[in-house]
Amino acid sequence: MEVPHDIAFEIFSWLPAKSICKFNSTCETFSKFSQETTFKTKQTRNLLRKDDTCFFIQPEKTRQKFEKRVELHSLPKEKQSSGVPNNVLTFLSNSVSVLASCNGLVLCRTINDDSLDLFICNPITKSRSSIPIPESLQINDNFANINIMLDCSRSNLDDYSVFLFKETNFKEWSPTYICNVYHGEEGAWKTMANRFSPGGRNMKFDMAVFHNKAIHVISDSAFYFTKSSAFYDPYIMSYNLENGTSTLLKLPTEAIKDCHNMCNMNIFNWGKVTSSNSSICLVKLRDSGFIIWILKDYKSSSWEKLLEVRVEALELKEENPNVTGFTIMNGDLLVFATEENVYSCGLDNEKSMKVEEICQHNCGSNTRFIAYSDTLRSCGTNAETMPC
Amino acid sequence: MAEEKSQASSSKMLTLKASDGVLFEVELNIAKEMKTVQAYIDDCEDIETIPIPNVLGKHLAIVIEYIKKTNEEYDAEFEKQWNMDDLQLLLLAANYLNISGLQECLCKAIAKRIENKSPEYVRKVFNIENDHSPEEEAKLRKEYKWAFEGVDKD
Repeated sequence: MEVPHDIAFEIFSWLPAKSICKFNSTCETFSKFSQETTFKTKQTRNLLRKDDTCFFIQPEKTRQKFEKRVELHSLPKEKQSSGVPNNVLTFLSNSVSVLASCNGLVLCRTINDDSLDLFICNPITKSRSSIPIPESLQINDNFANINIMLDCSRSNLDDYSVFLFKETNFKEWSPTYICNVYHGEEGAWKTMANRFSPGGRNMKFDMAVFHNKAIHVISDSAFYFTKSSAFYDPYIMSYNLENGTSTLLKLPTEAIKDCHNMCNMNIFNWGKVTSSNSSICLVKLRDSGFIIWILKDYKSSSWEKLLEVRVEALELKEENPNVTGFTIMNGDLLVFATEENVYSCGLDNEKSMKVEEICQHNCGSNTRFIAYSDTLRSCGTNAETMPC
Repeated sequence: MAEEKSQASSSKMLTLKASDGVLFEVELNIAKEMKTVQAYIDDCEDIETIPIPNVLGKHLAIVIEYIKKTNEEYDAEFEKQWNMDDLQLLLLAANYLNISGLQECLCKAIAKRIENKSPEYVRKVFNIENDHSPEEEAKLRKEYKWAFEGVDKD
């Protein structure tokens, strides 16, 4: 039966970008959809409300400078309908480190010997937009960490924000950070009035979580303070994006126990973005076991343990699996890597956690995960075509 | 007297007449979810039977039930019961009656059903001609070769 074009337009705007590209071959009219701005905006907005379907996996940052590699894999069941063009992935793999991704936009850093060279791109539309780096933010050290995050506006689909935290007060034991924000649409950097004071510990800026209009970062948990120090126990520090205040969030008591040695703790968004009870979760990996807590009450820092599971109980087919990296995707799916493979583990039913093998990988140890969803989101008016 | 009147209006019933003559008595607040019907009521206040010329009784029944029951759980299970033809007819009905929630639910469902299929399948489903020239089509298939990986067999 025949469906009017405007209805086909609506239906197509719910498809992932890979399927839309495939259906360009269907007929003239459909092939023109993805060139229309209204269509791209609609598809972008629709996919904001759906789950991410893929993830980038990369080697550890310092290793990636020598062994350039970016892999992209789809979650189980999404393989057929999600992904990016091979030539674009090859281009990225040979030249960049992916720093963050949001609603189809990917923030990349060109791997080079000296300066910081950033751009935002959309691998599906093959467009990219350079992010200018003012002199004051430029770095000259190949191995320096840059503390950078990406957030995509949900209301203004032409805009995105890049947050860059620059350390100041080097002589102090508790450094503060100046927060610089780049607004994609305006094309300009602004500096927040209040500095971020994350206390005495090193913070995991690359695992930052956006929640409640604040950026949350968890500290490391290594043993370099005495018990009398206020920062002996690891913690979360939040930076309010409206008023710039820094607030400490305590971790659950059980999480702090035995955390100083051979322990990896990270925070992630928990629950669906569209849900009103979305929160933050804490995942602790120690001694080949995962423990996950959910933050139940933000104001009082009260957590509730969700589950505890030993890796051997997941009955992975490889022998002696050693977990090298993990993430929580879509607010409810644990995705983790061993030296060789990547697995997913559903967390919605504690009694029967569904474990699936996703793929093999070649990213070594300390693998980094970044979730991705293929949309037609725009990189801005000054975007250029990627050379691939 | 005033009380009786307000009671009467809150349970006011309307009759909707489908294209095949089937009649449905619905409460006013249910009918109002269909913006097309609401516009009809706004135009002619004392109407009792509203003709719905584009929608079969079978589909109007499903639409009315959707409006009565819609919530997250119901929506998730709703689309599973219908085949592709019915989904499309329901979408046309929801479009004509202007029920945004149902339109969105059906668009998402149809998109989900076609996302892994081939262009040939989509042409059949939407009953459209391939009006690309052979050169144009070959060019598109080459350019988007990566998107054809893992297509369902028809």
